[in-house]
Amino acid sequence: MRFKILLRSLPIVFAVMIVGLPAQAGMVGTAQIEQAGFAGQFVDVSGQRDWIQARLLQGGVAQAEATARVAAMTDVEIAQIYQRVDEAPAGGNVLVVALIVFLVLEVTGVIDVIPEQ
Amino acid sequence: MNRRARRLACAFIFSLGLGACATSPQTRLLLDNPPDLPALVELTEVPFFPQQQYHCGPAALAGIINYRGTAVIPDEIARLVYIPELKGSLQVEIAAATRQFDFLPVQLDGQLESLLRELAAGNPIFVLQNLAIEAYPVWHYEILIGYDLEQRHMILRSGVNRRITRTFALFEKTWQRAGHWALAVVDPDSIPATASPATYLAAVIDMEQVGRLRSARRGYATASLRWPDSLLALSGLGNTSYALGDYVDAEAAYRAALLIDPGKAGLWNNLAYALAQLGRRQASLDAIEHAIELDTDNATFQESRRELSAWSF
Repeated sequence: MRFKILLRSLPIVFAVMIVGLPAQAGMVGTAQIEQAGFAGQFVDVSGQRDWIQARLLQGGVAQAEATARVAAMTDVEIAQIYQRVDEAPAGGNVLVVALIVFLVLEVTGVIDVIPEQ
Repeated sequence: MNRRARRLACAFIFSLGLGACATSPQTRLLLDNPPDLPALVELTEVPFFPQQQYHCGPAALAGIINYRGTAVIPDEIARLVYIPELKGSLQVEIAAATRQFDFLPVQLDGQLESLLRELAAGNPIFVLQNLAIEAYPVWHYEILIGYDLEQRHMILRSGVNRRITRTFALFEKTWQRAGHWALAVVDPDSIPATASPATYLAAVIDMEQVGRLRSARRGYATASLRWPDSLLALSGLGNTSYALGDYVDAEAAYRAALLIDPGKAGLWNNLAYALAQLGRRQASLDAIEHAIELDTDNATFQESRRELSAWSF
C-alpha cells in the first residue's frame, strides 16, 4: 500500500511535546530544567516509533536500516513525521519533469526545473 | 503553435510575470541595503558528488560531510535517509543522518541575508528547494557554496551539476516554496555565524537525546563559552557530563547554572544526584531538600529524596 494513503488515514495526534526522558531515573532532562512543573508531561512516542519503522520497511527500507534510522530520530522528530509525513517534502526527483507548463514557467523565471549544464 | 495557444501562453506569462515581481521581497531588501559582506564568495573546496536519480539528499549531504573532514560516500548516506517508495529523503532524516556523523544540523532563520553571512563565514549550506510550484512540487536538496552580489546570484552544487548559479530572485522563490528550509552543518566545537542560542542549542539537545553524548557535551561547552548566561547550555553540560560519569564537571556545571537562576528546582535535583555520585551524602540531601522547597508538589523530587536517602555511599 502506498505510504501516503496509509498515512493519511491516521488521525492527527495533538500533544504538548515535552520530550526527552532523562538518562537516569530521577534526573531531570535538559529540556525540562527550564520548565516548572514538568512532571507527568512526558509523551510516550514509542508506539509512533514502531509505526514509523514499519512504514519504512513497507517503503522499501531494509529491516536493520529501518531499526537504526528510527533510533536516530528524537521524540520530537518522530512526532513530526508521524503527524505529517504525507505532506513532508522528500527531495529526490528533478530529472523527469517535462511538462509544457513547466517550460513556460521556466522561461519566465518563476521556477528552475531545468538545471544549467 | 496556433494563434489561440500563443495568446494563451502570453497571457499566462504575463500573469506570472506580474506575480514574479512581487514574490522576492528578501532579494529586493538585500539589493536595496547591501550587507557588509564580501562581494563574492565561493567555497570551491566543497566536494561534489553527482547524484544518482532521486538521490539528491545523499549526494548533497555527502558533499558537506566530506567538506567537514569525514570521508563518506553518498551510498552510505542513502542507507540512512533514502526511502525507495517516496523516491526521496525526508528533512528529519537528513538532520538525523548528520548527527550520526557527529555534526550538528543547525536550522537557519529563513533570511536570505543569513545564507550569505554563513557562506562568508565559510559554511556551505544545505537547502531544500521546490523547483516547481506548490500544487506540483519538485523537491530538491542542494548545497549552497557561494554568492555573487554583483551578478546577483547564488552558486550551488546541484544534482548532476558541479556548479550552477541561480539569481537571488529565483532562488528566493524556489526556497520560499520549500519553507525557507536551510541547515548549517558544523562541528560541535563551532557555531554557525547566524545561529541564535535557541537554534544552536536545539540541535545540541537533539544530539543529546539520540545518545551521542560526547558530541552533545562538546556542543553545550561551546555554547556556554559563547553565551555564558545560557542556563540551557550549562544544564546540558551538567547532564551530559553526568551521563558520561564525569560527576566533578557535572557538579561544576549545575552550580554555575544555579548562579544564573537559583530558583530552578530541577537543577538542585540533578546537583543532588551528582553529589551523591561523588559520595557527599549530606550535601546531596541538602540539595534535594532545596528542590522540594522550591517545588513542593512535584512527585519527581519526592521520588528523588526517597532514592537519595537510601543511596549506599
